[in-house]
Amino acid sequence: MKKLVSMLLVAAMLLCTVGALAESNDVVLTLAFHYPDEYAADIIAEFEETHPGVKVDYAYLHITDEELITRLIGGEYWDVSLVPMVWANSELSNYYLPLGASEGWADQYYFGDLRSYEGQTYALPIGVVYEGLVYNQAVLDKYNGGVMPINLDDFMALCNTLKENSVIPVWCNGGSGWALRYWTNLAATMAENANYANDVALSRDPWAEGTQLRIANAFLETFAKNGLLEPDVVTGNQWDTSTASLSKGETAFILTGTWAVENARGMASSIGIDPENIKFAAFPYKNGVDASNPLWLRLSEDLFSAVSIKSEHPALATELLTFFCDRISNKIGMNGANKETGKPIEALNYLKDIDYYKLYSPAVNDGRIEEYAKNCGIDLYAYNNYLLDYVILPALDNGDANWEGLNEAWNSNF
Amino acid sequence: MNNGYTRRKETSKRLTICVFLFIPLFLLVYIAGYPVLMMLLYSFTNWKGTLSAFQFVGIDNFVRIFTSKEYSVVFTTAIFYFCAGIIQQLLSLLFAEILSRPVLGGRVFRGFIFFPFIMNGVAVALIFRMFFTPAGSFDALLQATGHMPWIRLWITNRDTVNFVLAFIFIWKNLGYSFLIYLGVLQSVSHEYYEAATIDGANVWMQFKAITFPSIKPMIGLMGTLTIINSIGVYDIPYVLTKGNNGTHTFVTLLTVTAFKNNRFGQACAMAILILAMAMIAMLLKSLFFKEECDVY
Repeated sequence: MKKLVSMLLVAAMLLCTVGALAESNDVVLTLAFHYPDEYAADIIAEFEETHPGVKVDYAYLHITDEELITRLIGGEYWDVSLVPMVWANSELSNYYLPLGASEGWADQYYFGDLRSYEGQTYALPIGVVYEGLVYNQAVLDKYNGGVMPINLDDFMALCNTLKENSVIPVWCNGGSGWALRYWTNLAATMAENANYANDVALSRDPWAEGTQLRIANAFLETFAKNGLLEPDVVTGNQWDTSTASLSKGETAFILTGTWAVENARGMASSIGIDPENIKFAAFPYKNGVDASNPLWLRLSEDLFSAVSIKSEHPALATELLTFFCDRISNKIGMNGANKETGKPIEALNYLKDIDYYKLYSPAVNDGRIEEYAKNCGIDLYAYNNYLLDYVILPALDNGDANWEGLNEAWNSNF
Repeated sequence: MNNGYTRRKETSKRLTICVFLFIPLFLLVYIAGYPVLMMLLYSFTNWKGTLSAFQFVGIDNFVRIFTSKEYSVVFTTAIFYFCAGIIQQLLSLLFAEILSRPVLGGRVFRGFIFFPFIMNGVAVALIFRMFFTPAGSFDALLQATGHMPWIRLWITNRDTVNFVLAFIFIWKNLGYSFLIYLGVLQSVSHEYYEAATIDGANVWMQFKAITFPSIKPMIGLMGTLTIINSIGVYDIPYVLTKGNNGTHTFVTLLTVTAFKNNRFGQACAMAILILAMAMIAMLLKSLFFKEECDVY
C-alpha cells in the first residue's frame, strides 16, 4: 500500500513538473491599458488564438500620468503600455523601443509620427477622434426646430435662447483642466491651418490681439461673461455630472472629442434616457458656411501606446502593439487610427454625408512648444488649466481675460 | 590585569551596542536620510524625473520659487491655512476647556467634534463639494434662513474660495487638537482648581494661573504642527479645485511641477523648502516653549 502511495505521489510530482515545464514554454507578454479588462478581453483572446504559445497578461491602469510615471520610474514595465502624456519625445528612448522610421508609420497611422524623436517613432495612437460639439438633439428639437446651427451667429443666438430657458448652453468642465484643451485646439481649426499650433506658439506673444488662439480662447471669455457656462467651473472631476446633465437636456453642448459620444450615450442609457439623443457636430466658428466654405473638423490624437525597452520579446510585443491599437479604438468610442483599416465609430457614420465639413489632421507639434509650456507653467496644447485662471475666472470676476498675463508668462521662454 | 579585564568588557559592551544599533541605524539612514540627501542634490539640478541626464543649476530653483508669479500663490494660501490653524487651536482649546468639566451631553459633543478627524480627507472634500456647490446645501440653508443676498458661487469666486477651503480644513482637523488638549487638561490635578476656587479665583484666573502653564508645552507643539500643516495641505484643495482659482498649496503645486511640467528638480527644491520651514518651526518651538524644570 505504502509503495502504491509513494508511486502515486511521485507520478503526481512528475505530472506537476511536466505541467510547469509545459507552461513555462509559453511566451508571456504584458499589456497595460486604462480601461477595465472586459474592453480588451476579445482582442487578447484573438491575439492568443492567432499566436499559439503566446499568453497576454492584462493590467488595468487607472490612468493618470502620476501613476504611470511613478511606476515606470520605479522600474516597473509592461511589454506594451501607455506612454505618459507629459513626457517629451526626447525622453521616450529611455523607456520605449524605437519602432522604426517615422515616415513609414506616418503613412500607415494618423499621428504615426507624433511621438517620434530623431526620425524614429516610439509610440502609436490608440485611436483618433473628431473634435467638436457633443450635443443633445432633444434640446435642439425643443428650442431650435431640431436644427443644429452651422453658422456662428445662429449658434450664439441659440445659446442665449437656451440660457433664457434655464438650459446651460455650454458645459466646459473647466475644473478638470484637460477638457479645456479643445478650446485651444479650436484655434488651428478656426485658422484653417494645419500647422497653426507651431506657427503661433513659437511667437513671443501668442495671445496678441487678432491671433486665432486668442479668438478661440475668447469664446470662453464671452461665454463666461454672458453666463453661458455651467455654474461651477472650478470644481474638478465633474465629467460624469456634465454628461448626466447633457443626457437630461439640462445642458446643450460640450466641446470635446467624439470619444465622448459613446461615453455620454452610456450615461444616458444608465439614467433611462434615449441614448440616440446624444449627437456630434463641428463647432460653428464662422458664418456663411456651405460646401464651398466648409467648417473645418479636426481629427485629433488621444493617448499613445508603446513597446518597453525592457521587453524580452520586442518583435512579438510590437506585433501585439499594432494588433491592439488597430482593434481597441472602436471599443472605447474612438475612430481607428490605421489609415487603411481604421473605421469611425458607428454613431459617426453620418458625418461622411455632410458636404460642409472638411476633415483635417493637424501637423505634428514642434517639440519646443512642450518645452516652453513646461518651462513657463502654461500648459498649452496639453491640459490647458491656464484657460481657467487666465480667461474664464477673470471674465467671471471683472469681465476681462488676462491676455497680457498669458503673453508675459509665455515671453519668459525667450 | 583588572584594568585590562574592565577595558575588554567595556569594549565588548560597546561592540555589542554597535552591532545591535547597526541595523536600525542603517535602515534609518537608508530609508530616511538618503532620500532627503538625494532630494537636496536634485533640488540644485534641472532633473526631469527620468533617466535623461541633468545639469546643476545652482540655486535657480529656489530663486524661482520666491520670485516667480507661478509660485507666489502658495505663500498666500499658506497664510490662509496658517490663520485657519490658529483658529482651529483656539476653538479646540475652548471646547476642550468646556468639555473637560462635567457638562450635560459632554460625551456626545466630544464625539461630534472628533468624528470629522477620523473621516478620510477625500471624503470630507467630496461632502463639502456638494455642500458648497451652486444651489447646494449651503445655499439652501441661506435661502431657508432668509439670507438670499449672501448666496454666491463659493468655489468659483476667487474672493471666497480660500475661505471655504480654510473652513473645511478647520472642520476636518478640529477634533485632533481638541482631543490632545482634552487629554492634557484632564491630566491637571483637580486639587489645584479646588484650592483656587476656595481662594476665590474665577474661571479666567484659574485658566491663567493653572491651566495655561500646565498646557503651555502642548500649545507650543500644536502651534508647530499648525505651521507644518499649513504648508502641507493637499487633499482638500486637490479634490475640490485641483489647485485652480488661486488655491494651490505647496504640495499641490509641487505635484503639478513634478508630474505635469516634468520639473522634478524644481519640485525637489519645493520639498526641501517645506522641510526647511518645518525645521524652522521646530526650532522656534524649542526656543519659545522650552521645557521648564521645577527647581526646589
